[in-house]
Amino acid sequence: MRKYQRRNFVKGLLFILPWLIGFAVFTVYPIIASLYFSFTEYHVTTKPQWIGLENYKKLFSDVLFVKSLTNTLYYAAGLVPIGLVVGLVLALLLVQPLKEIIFYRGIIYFPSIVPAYAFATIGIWFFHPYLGFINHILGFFGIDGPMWLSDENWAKFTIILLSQWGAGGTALIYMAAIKDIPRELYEAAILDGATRWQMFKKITFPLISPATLYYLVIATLGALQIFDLPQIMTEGGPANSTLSYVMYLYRHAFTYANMGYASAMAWILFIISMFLTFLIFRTSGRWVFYYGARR
Amino acid sequence: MKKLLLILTLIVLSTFAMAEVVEIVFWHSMSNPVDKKSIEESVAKFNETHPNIKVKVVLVPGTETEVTKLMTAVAAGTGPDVYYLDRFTVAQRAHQGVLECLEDYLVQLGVDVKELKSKYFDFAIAEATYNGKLYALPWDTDVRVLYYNKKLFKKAGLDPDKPPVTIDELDEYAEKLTIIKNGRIEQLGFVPWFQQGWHYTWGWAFGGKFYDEKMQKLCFADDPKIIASFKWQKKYADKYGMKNIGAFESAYTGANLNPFLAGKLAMVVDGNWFLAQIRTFAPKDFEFGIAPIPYPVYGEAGSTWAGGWSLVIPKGAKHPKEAAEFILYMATEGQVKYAIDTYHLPTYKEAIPGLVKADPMQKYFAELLPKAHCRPVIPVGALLWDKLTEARDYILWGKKTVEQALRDAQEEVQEALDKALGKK
Amino acid sequence: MLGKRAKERLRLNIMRLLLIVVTFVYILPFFWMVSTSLKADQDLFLIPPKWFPIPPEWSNYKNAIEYFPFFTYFKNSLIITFGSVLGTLLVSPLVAYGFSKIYWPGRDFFFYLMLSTMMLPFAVTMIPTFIIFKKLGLVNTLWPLIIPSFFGVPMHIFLIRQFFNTIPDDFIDAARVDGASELQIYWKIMLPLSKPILLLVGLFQFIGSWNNYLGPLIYLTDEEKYPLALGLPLFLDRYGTHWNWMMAASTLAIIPIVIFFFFAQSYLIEGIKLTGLKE
Repeated sequence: MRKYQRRNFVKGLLFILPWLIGFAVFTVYPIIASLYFSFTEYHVTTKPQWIGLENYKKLFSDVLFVKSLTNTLYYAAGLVPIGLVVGLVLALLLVQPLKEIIFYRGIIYFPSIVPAYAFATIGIWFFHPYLGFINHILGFFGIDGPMWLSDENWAKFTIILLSQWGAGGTALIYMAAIKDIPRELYEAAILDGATRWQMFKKITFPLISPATLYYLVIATLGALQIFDLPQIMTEGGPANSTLSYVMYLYRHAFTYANMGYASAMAWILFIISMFLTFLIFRTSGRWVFYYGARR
Repeated sequence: MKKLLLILTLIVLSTFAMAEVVEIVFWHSMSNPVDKKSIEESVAKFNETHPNIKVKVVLVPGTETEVTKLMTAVAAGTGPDVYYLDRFTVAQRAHQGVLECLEDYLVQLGVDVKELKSKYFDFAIAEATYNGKLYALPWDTDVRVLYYNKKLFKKAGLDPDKPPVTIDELDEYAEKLTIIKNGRIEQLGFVPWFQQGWHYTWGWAFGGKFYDEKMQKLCFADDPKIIASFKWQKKYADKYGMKNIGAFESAYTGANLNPFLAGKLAMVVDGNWFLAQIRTFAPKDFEFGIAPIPYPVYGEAGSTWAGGWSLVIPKGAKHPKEAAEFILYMATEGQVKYAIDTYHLPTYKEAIPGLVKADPMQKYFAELLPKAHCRPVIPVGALLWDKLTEARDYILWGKKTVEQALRDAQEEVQEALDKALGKK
Repeated sequence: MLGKRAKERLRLNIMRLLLIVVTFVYILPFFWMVSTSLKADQDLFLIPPKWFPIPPEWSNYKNAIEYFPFFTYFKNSLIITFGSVLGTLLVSPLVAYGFSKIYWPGRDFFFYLMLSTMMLPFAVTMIPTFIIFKKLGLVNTLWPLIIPSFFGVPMHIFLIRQFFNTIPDDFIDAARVDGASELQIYWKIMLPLSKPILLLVGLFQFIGSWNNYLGPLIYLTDEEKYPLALGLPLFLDRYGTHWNWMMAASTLAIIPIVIFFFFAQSYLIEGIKLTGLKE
């Protein structure tokens, strides 16, 4: 390493030192332990027994494992793009210069802090096939609404829709990103006669791309580990159609005390998460734009 | 000189006395203030009457199946001395090495275990036993019965004092009590699998058998009565449509929603605890009745099954002997008091009179206890439950035939069971 | 044709209309929570549900705070949360800076390593982590719930790093040429420009700690140490859950978050950038 590189290396390391120490003390051992457990038969309160790749082999013939995996990939495929659109649209609405904007912002963020049971019950009511709001509205348009949570073909989708009540967080992040865009860029664009859409496409969207990158990674990881909503609302039903990966993992870890099996599941999830995150970062070079960055 | 000796002796004796006080920790999850108070009062009484043991009682969040906290603590060696465990899981947890063998310590205390066992209902002792030894002492329990809405009966022209006794009558009444308008269920007479109408409930009501203890083999997939019970349930699914029923039912999942209390469901099988809910939450003009679970002609009259809690010593407890002494006290004297305070059903026979005196309506439930079933006592009990539930879902949704679903479930669980019993 | 001003007014009013519709949908969970908290026992199970309980059953609030030691649990929640937020805000931006404005060999490796720690579900690392804290003698204290944030929270570090990256390098380099140390740059340039995102991170950490259930569940065995997150599930009871009391407790429990939120988001009103380089 050249001298300045070594200097920077030391500086960089120093700044991340707190995290590095925390990682070494609190994180490394549990990660390695769980990897080890995945190769064992381990019932938590007894000694782990090495069984090599047995757990992994069993997983692929486990019907529920496959189902929970496909369910979860479906969740991810829905939650990530829909959450992005909803969060972004809300953010755009919430940066408008209206007097009462604080009020709207607060209300829209509220569902993110309300406890899960309140959330779940309202959600069930909202989408109730007979008495629910949604089907009422659809009825006005002459559409016979589906059975939502009671229909195995619609249940996951319903949960994805309900998750949008939590889009306030994404909206806040986008709001912060939008605030950072220098006003003069818009002023120049207006002088050039740009339309609102053009300004969004050429100025807003690229300049908030760092936040978008964050959102994509975090939302993907979050979707892959989704647990609370399906657990509370449907407990995995109907007919296991809403069973998520981590719900099934948790069941093996604590209800059946098959921690070895659960650890194997966790590491498969890890590999999938790594892969997807890698993909996101790989393509990010083309669309993520750090304003003013040297590289 | 004599005085000095006396003082010295007193000091030495008192240090002995102080050194002998053992503190044990007891975790329970009964957060309801009434239940909690009863438990704490019993603990206080025990502490008073057993000066060498001090019990520290801690309320921990948890449910029948949520034992995350316990497992974590035992794995790390920081577990309590006494734990409040769902009795149905005792065999499983004992097998997983989560529990100490309670019987060994009772014997050390000089207890006549055989005599002690006779003081509890059979099913409770069965669930508390693993490999022939007691791993728990039973605490409270519950039973299932049929609840029905007398007002809706009257409206449909049925005699409110004559609940259905046979399955055929049940079907007939359900038909009369169901109102469907424009393809939507406005009022539902009955659906077998709501609330406590589990696979076990009907399997036993139909006179079937799930597990052969002698052979250690599951036998539900081959039992024609159990098959019949599922076929009967499927009839309801076909008649009203799973989506319609699902829509009706799912609207009442989650927080405070219950179709029976709302007067939209005329009959339902639920536990004795539902009575407490009705008393607290039903509208003032609610009229209801309780009846035994209906059965087919070849089935079992007054069939029911029981769950409930128990007291155990987790593995690694620092003072297992004192823990056993405390458990003995709680599960006998403590249980008598608990039944009176909380109206929960006890498993300790001596506690029944006190309960019935405090709340005469409980007599009805208490009478069902001597013949109550308990779930198969196997080391993979939770798996069996989940697989039976899954099989039932597949059957009701038409994804598998009854025979196929039951066979798949049986094979899968039998395999896990054989493995657990070391037969593979 | 409408003049420019009028067009703008129309546009704003359309926005307003959209917002009102959206707000109506988003307020429902909160509304239901408060509405349930004021229902009498007999009103809880009515179908169709009573949206406006009249008269309101205020005694539910009294019952709620008597069900468990409400104020003790509240105090514990405050301690855990403030501790975590403090730790997060002290350390996470620091680490983010190391991943952002300093270009050093191995930086990306460590960054991805940090991201990968978010990819394993907590359920499988829970017990080994617990054992570590047991060895440190910190079980049954509030420390395992506070200490980790003093070592940085990967999710927040990532977010702050993204925002740091948008601050022009030229600016930073100029400061370096002028002889400023990294720490000075961090303190005098990066932090002041990042107030909005730091407040957001604070808010997110606040909510995460406030509602965290699993952590307190496994680490605490003294009732006096329980936070509200452990108290709320105590209302669940097979013999009759008092949803009205539970929602009353929940309503009281979210008040601090609401206060923090309005405080944090007021900073998002400011900071409309008027120049190319920020301020």
